[in-house]
Amino acid sequence: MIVGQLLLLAAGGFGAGVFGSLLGLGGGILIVPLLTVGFGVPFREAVGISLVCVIVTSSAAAGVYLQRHTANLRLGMLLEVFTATGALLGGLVAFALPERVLAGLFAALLAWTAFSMLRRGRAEAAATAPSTPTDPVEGAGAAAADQGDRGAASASLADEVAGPGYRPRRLGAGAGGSLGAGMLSALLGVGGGIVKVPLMHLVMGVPLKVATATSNLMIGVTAAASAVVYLVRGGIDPYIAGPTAVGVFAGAMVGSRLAARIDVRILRILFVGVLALTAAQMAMRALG
Amino acid sequence: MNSIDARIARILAVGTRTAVALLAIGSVLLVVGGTSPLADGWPPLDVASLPAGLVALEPAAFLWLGLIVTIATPLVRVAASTWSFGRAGEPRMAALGAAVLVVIAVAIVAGLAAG
Repeated sequence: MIVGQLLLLAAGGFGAGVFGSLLGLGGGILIVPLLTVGFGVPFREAVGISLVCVIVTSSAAAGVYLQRHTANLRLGMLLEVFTATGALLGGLVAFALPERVLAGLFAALLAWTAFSMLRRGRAEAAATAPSTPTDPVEGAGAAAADQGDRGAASASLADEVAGPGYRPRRLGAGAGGSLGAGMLSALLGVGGGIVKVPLMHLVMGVPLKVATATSNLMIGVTAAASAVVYLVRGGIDPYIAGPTAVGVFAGAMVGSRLAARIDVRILRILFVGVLALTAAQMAMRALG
Repeated sequence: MNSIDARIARILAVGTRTAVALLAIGSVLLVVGGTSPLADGWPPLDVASLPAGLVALEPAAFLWLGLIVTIATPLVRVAASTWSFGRAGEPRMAALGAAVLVVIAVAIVAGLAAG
């Protein structure tokens, strides 16, 4: 019985880790529904556990991204000031909000994620390989071209956080968006990559690969800022967090090795369906 | 820059592996001790009693330490980055890292005050 419960938690975490890794998600978007819907864990406790799992996957992946020089440590440190502040505020607000409100917000996030994945899948299918702007330097050219909105002070800061072939723009918008991403992470137990990656890539002109890697690097600190609040307020159940986090870690390791061998397009379509169903369940929970 | 990235990557790798190992040991000890992970309630975090709990092979002690190492790993990364940038003569980057650490310190104080 006890072994079965522990294995189920670890297996659920493993599945979340594999899917999260294959689909480029932190895993939090899967762990909260898994724990609340699958195991009947209260929403706020599930968020605390999810934050721990998100830190584990982020720290494991970020080390690799840094070794490969894909993540921009300087840009990450600049935006972390704002994501951590947002996470601190969100962590405090989370304990004041009714769980039904949090569940409703999560349902909206799931629906948005499903929509984004569907749209991304269609865009990839429509794109032809030779003309797809996948080269980081291509995005960099656009970033470098649009420098009209920089003041003198932010220009030097932008220079300091620039990477090879690109120079981030609209640092103010990046800071504001990062604050929101931090709040989202703390309230819903997710990494916030769904906000940070488009923010850095589309708004700040950072190449997509760098935005993804840098977002992953930042997720650990963002989640840690709110996890600290959950930890000191007794909001993290160590008995559930332990096996789930171990499962997520193992799943993320396996997922990163499977990524090259699996047709992610089919997986994505299946996953959109799962997200939509989970969103409906969360919405029903929010509505009582 | 490359040496800073390599140092930070090493910190993240060691921290993550240590945390996962502690959580795995704690999970196995849960089974050995016959404690259900889905039981209502859990022992509160008491940092002072962690060493004794580890020696006594208490599952909660390993799990709490694993959670602390998990949460501390990205924070140690920020502290190491701050120190490295300071030594490399990049005061603005060092100041940004210090600002993140201040936010974390405020989070701890605010969490304790609210809890």
